[in-house]
This record gives sequence, structure tokens and C-alpha cells, in this order.
Amino acid sequence: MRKETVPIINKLGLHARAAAKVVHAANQYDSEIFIGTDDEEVNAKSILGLLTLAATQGTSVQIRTDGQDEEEAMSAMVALFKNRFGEDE
Amino acid sequence: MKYPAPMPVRRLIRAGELAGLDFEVLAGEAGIESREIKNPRIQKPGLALAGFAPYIKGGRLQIVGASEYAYLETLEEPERFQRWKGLIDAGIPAIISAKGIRPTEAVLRHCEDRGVPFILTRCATSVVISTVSLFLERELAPTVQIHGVLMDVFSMGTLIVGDAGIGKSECALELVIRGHRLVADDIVVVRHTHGEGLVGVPHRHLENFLELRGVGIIDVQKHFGMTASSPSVRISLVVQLVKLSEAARLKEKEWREQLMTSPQPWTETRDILGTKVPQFTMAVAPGRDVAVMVETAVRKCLLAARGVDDERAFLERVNRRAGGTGARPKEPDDG
Repeated sequence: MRKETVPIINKLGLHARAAAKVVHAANQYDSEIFIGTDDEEVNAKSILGLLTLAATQGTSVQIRTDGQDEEEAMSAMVALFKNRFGEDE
Repeated sequence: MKYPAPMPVRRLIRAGELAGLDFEVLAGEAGIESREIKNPRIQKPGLALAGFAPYIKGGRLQIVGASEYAYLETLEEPERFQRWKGLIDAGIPAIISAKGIRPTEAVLRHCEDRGVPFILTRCATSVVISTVSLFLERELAPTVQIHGVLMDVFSMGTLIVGDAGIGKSECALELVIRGHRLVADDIVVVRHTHGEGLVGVPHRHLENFLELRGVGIIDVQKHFGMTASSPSVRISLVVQLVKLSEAARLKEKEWREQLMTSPQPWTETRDILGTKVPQFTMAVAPGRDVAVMVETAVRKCLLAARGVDDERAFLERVNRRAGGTGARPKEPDDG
């Protein structure tokens, strides 16, 4: 199992389109992928759960991957957050 | 597992569930935000007022009724006020006075000075105790979030779990179409209380919503009507969906053998907040209608609770015909 904490740096935070991107990326991997804040942890392969986090710019989230391809899954997730989900700001 | 934060007294006073008690704050308004209820159990401070002060537990709501007042009537001032003072200064969150009985002005003034809310209700003490206890137990119960779908199938809370993409939501949709109710999709918040056992509710943002891959997010009440969803249900069983792999095949073999020898229709249990819940594991494969299987598993549980055991009935019939040894021994309590 791998764990990493990443800040949310894009302006809109983990909003609907960003969440959809996370779900899409997470579903490329067999590993279980979870994203959590201080209070809650949700399954990254499901959009409903991700949206309940309502994580805004400036907050940090914990990513946890567990499974055969956990390393690849983790780098893909971290890259997505660092890349501001492909958004300009 | 998560323990909820202590509850400010304000939440108790404003709670919709307790509106019937018609609370009136007589003094100590200043403390309704800062004073917190930390323990779901209430306390009747009779013994404390009688002089056994160490018994008062800080963090517990105090409820006084006619018996406390009747006892205090037997005391003279200033001793009577000293007893009240001992209670008010003991680090308690608030005092509720039942039956509409008001204490002396001096007591109220002391509550006001210390910022300890003194709350009046006209209801009888027993009613206040039961309603408030149930409310506090619910609100202060430990909870856990489970990734899955919770359905109300014939009033049996059925928690469907399994990996993302296995078809939990699709199964839920089919169950809704078959007339059952959706409680929660994706995140099931489960709390445990002594009064109600395990109860599952949706995440507060997700009520009525279901996500279907390839279709989108749907509001089941708008699509299927009022009866398609339910705000909460007691969890009776768990259905775990798995891919039909070699491991699952081997386990199925094991379960089949177990089913033929066990008096219960389920083969495993799952621990949720310290409670063991019957669990069925079903392999998902083409041609298997999971919703129908889930519904049948629930029927089997309902029948088992009424003493109907399909496997035993079947084995007994075979046994009678063949005179063989196939039937498992009768349970001792069968009579």
C-alpha cells in the first residue's frame, strides 16, 4: 500500500469536471484507490463520493493506493493533482 | 470508525426531533454554544442533590423532575441553594427541568452567572428521558463510512459491497425497478446504537442519487417516485459481489458444502462497528441476474427467521426416499 499527501492547487478545487477526470484516471488501474481529507476517505473510482469531499484550493488530500499496480496508480494520481487536472489556473 | 464531535447544547435545543418537548431556556443562554454534551447518557442528579456529589459526571446532561424538587423542599435555605450550586458548578453541559417546574430565582441567577443553560419543558420526566436519550444516542453514536450501496429490500437493510465497477449501482437500479428502496449509493454512513443496532443512512450530499456508468447521475425519486428511496434502514445483511475468478470458484465449492451442513442460509459474517452481520458472497457473471439473487437471499433470511430451512427440508426429503445418511443432524432446539 502507498500513501501520499498532495495539495490542491487549481483555482476551482476538486470540482465536478476535475472529479470526473480523477475517476476516469483511477479506473485505468486495478488497484484500489482512495482519496481522503481529515474527516473522510472515499473511493476515487466513484464520482459521487469524490464530490462529497468538496475539497477546495489550498486544502490537501491524502491519496492511498493498494494493489498490483499501486505504484503506477499513485504516480498517475499525483501527476493529475500537480497538473491542476489539466486546467489553466 | 469515527466518534462524532461533542454536541453543543444549542443543537439539542434546536433539534427538530425534540420540538415536541418545547424547550424554553430560562437562564444561562450564554453557554448554549460553548457547553457541550460529551456523553449520550443522561443523568438524574437526585443522589447528587442529596449530597452524594462525586456521582455527578461532567459532560452529561442533567434532568431534574418532581422527585428532585420534592426532596429539595425538605431542606432549608441556604443548604438548598448550596446543593443546587454543587450541581451547577460540576462541569455539566445543561440542566433540563421537566413538568414545567421552575427553581428559585437564586438558582436561575447562578446558572446565568456561570453560563449553564437551564432549560424548561412541560413534558413528564419519563418522556423527556426517553426522547432525549434516543436523540443523544443517535447523534453521538460512533459511525463508519462504507463504500457500497444500501437498499431496503422487504424492510431488510441490504448492504451491497464489492470493487468499483462490479455492478453495485446497476444492481440497486434493478432492485428499485423491482419495487425496493434505495437508501444510499456509493457512501453508506453506518452508526451503531444500543437501541437500534446498525442503521445506515446516505451521505448528506448524496441522498436519492445513484450513479450509473454510461448513463449518468440519476435522482431516483424524480425517476421512480417517492417510494423509490428511503432515508435510513437497519442493516440486516451484506451481499458481497465478486468477479467469477478461480478463487471465487473454489470458495463457492466450500460454501456449497457449508450450506448443506449449516442451519443458516449465509456462510459468513462481516464485522461492522463490532456487530456481526450475515454476509452472502455472490459471483457476478454473464447470465446471473444479481438483483434477483439479492432479493432471493433476503427472502431466504426472512424465511430462516421464521424457521424455514430450505436445505434441511430438501435433505430430509432425499433422506426419507433413499434411507441414506444425507440429512444433517437435526438442531437440538427443533423439538
